[in-house]
Amino acid sequence: MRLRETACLGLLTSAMLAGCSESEPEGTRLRGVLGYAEFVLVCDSGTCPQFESNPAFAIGSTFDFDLEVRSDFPYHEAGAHLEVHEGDPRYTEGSQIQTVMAVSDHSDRYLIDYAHIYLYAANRFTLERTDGTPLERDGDVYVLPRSGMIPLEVTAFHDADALIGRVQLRFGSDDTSVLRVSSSTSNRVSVYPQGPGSAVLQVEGVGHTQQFEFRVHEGTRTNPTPSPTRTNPTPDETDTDTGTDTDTSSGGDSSTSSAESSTGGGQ
Amino acid sequence: MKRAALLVLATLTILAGCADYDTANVIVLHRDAGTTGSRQVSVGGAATVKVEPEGRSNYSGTESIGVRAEDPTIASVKQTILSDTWTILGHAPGTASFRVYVDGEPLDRFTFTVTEFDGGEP
Repeated sequence: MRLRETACLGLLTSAMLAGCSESEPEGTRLRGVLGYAEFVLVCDSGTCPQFESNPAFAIGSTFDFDLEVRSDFPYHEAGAHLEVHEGDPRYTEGSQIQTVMAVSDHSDRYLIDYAHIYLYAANRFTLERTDGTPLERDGDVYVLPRSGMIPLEVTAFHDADALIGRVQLRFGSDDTSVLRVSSSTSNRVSVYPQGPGSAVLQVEGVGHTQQFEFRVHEGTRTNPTPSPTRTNPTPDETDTDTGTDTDTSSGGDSSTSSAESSTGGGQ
Repeated sequence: MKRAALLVLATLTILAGCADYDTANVIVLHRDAGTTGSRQVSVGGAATVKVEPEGRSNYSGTESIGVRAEDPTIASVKQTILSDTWTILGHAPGTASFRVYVDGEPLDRFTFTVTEFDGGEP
């Protein structure tokens, strides 16, 4: 039987933070050096990052650990909590080691166990849709249809290793008439392709700044074979269709295309 | 004369009951993975040491051993749940001294070098 404590750890503070939600520990575990406790990483999105002995976290990120303590150590009934030892951050230059500690709640405050985690500044970001579908690219340029909101997720890397932990990022677009960006500060951001053209999305945080070039187009249309039985729309119907110019991804037929053309010509 | 003999006998009895230690033997049980030396710990890292008094007496484990950091801004120390073991936590680069006490009396001191974390690969 194991004693289980839930704790939130903020890497910028060395104290346990309150208010974490209980969740079942996933398989991402960090064994304590002394063999008395395991530190179980709490995963937000359901998919836990995998690490062996040296988990790589993003500098400045936050994370949650569940603490599982063996019941055969003295004073286990007293409970335990987690603390983070991070050293003096003045001496952090791109990489950092920290120690997560399981400390007994007994009055003697024995150190039950500890484990090292490693933190790195990012040197690369990657972008992908939050639903996992690939983003269309033309070389280094991301190509988006002019449509509604597109949720994106940024992953921070140190060389080939994806960094663990919730990071704080800043996003900006150099041309919001082409690409508007939500004011997110997490690693998830929503972009809104506004109009045709090119724009640069800048992502900044975890010691790294990276620019992603985007090109927004009007969307692709397929021209189906005209139906011989189709009735040509009346002028009134054509005017109604002209209000749907943002719905360019619905694969409209030739009449819709014609309506948009006529609208453009009328302006 | 009889009084003096009794005094000597009492003194010898007291001395016989006291352990006689000269030094503290410091054994590094778990090295900080971010360092290369045995008595080294990196900033933010930790190492675990076992501290046992040594001398004419054999350490029985019944005495109260204490370890205190003399430079807690460079490195601090935490007693672990394991018997006679302490964890050294590195705070800032430098040389940190630790004083070893037996039953509250100072016995010896030892040092640890705190180094900057050199990065390494994740």
